Amino acid sequence: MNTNITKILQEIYEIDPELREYEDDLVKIVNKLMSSRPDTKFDQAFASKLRLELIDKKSYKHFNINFMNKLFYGFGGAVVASLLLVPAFYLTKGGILQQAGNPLLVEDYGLTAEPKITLLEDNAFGSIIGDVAVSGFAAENTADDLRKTRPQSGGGGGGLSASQSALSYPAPGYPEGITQFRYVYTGELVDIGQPKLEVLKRNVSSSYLGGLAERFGLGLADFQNLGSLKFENVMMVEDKASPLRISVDLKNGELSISNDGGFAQTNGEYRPIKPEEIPSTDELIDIAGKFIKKFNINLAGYSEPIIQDNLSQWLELSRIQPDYYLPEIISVVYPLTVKGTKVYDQGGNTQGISVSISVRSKQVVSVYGINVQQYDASLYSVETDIEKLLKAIQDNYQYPAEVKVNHVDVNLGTPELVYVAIYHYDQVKGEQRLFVPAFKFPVLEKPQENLWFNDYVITPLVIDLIPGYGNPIQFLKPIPTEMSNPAIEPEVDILPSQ
Amino acid sequence: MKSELDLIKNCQQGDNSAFGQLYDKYIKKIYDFIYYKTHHKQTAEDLTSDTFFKALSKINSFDATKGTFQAWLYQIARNTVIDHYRSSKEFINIDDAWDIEVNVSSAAHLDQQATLTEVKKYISKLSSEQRDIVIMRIWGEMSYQEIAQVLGKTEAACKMSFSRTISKIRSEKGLASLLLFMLSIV
Repeated sequence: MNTNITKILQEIYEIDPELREYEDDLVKIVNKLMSSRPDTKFDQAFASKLRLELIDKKSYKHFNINFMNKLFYGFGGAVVASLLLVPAFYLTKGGILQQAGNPLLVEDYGLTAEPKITLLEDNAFGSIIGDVAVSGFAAENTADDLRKTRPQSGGGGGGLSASQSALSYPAPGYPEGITQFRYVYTGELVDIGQPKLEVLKRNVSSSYLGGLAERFGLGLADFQNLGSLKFENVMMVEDKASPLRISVDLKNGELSISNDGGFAQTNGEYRPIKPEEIPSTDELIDIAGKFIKKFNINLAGYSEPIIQDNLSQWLELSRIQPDYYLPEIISVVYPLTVKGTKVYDQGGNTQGISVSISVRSKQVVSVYGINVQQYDASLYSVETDIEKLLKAIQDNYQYPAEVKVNHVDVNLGTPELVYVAIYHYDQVKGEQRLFVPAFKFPVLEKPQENLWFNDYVITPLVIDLIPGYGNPIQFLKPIPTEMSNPAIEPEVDILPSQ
Repeated sequence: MKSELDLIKNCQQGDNSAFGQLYDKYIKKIYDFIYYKTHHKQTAEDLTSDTFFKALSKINSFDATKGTFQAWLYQIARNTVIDHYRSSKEFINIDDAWDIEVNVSSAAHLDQQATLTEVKKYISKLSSEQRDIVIMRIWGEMSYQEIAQVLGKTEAACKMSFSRTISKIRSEKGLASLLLFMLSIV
């Protein structure tokens, strides 16, 4: 008999000597249990990686590392683990936001404080095919833009809708034809190794302040018998001139702050911003950092701040064209990372905490995107064959035969795996904000004809979202990121009516 | 070679490399333990990460007079697994994967369905604590002293529980079922 079994049985007999009578049965039971021990699939690579994170980043809480990060290994790049501490904000009785720490508040208002991702069954958010809100670049570059004679600025084409495919005249102002950029992949072989990747959805408790809502009748009505009211949005305002306004979106777990006092006082006359008035990057980040620190906004889970709005390109344009418009507001963004992966919106903008600063007053005018970091995850089928991906997208943006098209190849490099935030409306589930996996391709060489071509192109990978895969809703074309200034529109007539 | 207590003290004084040595000693044990309770590699890795980060962040609260470091780690691991399932909308009333009904929707959460199904019918009927004693004793090969420290019970109580568990498995099935059960392993 196995010595382990012998030892175990001896221990049993010490307690229940009567069981010795059934030794044969007991041997078989214990043996069966032993032989059923599962192979735990212990992965030394996982253990080594976790060790590095623990020892090098002691002050952070590890959030999650999953198979999506294997893509980074394949590229030989350094993996940045996603280390999050939850930013937890609670309303005190005084109405001022404070960081988590009061267990009484946690219990009172049902707010949780642990960042986590909960894996649900596959396709848990329903079919993503459907009414997806179009925003940003994708919305701007529709067939209507062709009518406005806007030159192509990348993205594989102008995107004529099916209803306009019968157009039979060339775009006015462009007798030479339309320039259509074709994406050519010249990067490394990519193998995600998974037929499915996780789509994320923020998981926000619906019980925030649940017990208080019934009391808010202003003395005009009594709602206490309802018993099921909950707050969805709360707005708080400082009681002073030029106040801070704090908006708490309890439904989506998001905070935003706006500062009426951050705008510079003017006497009603508009004066364009001059290049020398634009603060330096360091100065902008310093202004944003001080505001963040003033309210103790937790930045764990967000990367080092960057300047949004392509400031350098705006400045370059102003050097070429002295009276070129320079922005009044510049944003400093602390990029959100989930599982070590950056998140973009459909307009190609980095998602995260956005701190907007007035160039004139050098003060913060608003902060958006402070979010609860809890997610549900669900696996969705993805297309990771890059050639198929680019072809499917480009095939959906074709011009009528009558339109002369000049093709310009744009070489794309090895992609990075990112998330794209989309708003999806489902008839049963309502509006859902989802993070879907996507490829972010670097543009290796911008076309000479268009110096303002995008630096990157983003393409979603979830099959439901890819045009040409049976999806009748063609809403997403390759989403450019770090969008350059829109090209200056030439002065041409609009299309004559037929 | 420093003793475990010395390593813990060094870690409490900010020496990360000391925690690394503790990590090396326990990573596989903790991972295996969590895997036995979750049956899912990805989940086990995630919860193992959580466990060690919690341990690191709370290292200064570890008191050697109250138990061993191993037991402390296992307690954190055990609680992390319980929290994981209880905080999930799908699995709100369970402590670990043994309580998950094996069906299509839960298949994604569990590996090795066929192997586990066989013992599941016996182990799933046990209480969470009884189950943990069986897992730690038979699969984890831990001593009753170690198990007792993890569960905050006496050695005798853990032995009693284990003995009664085996006896329960034997008697509940009855002789005919037991024969069928035995036939399946012959």
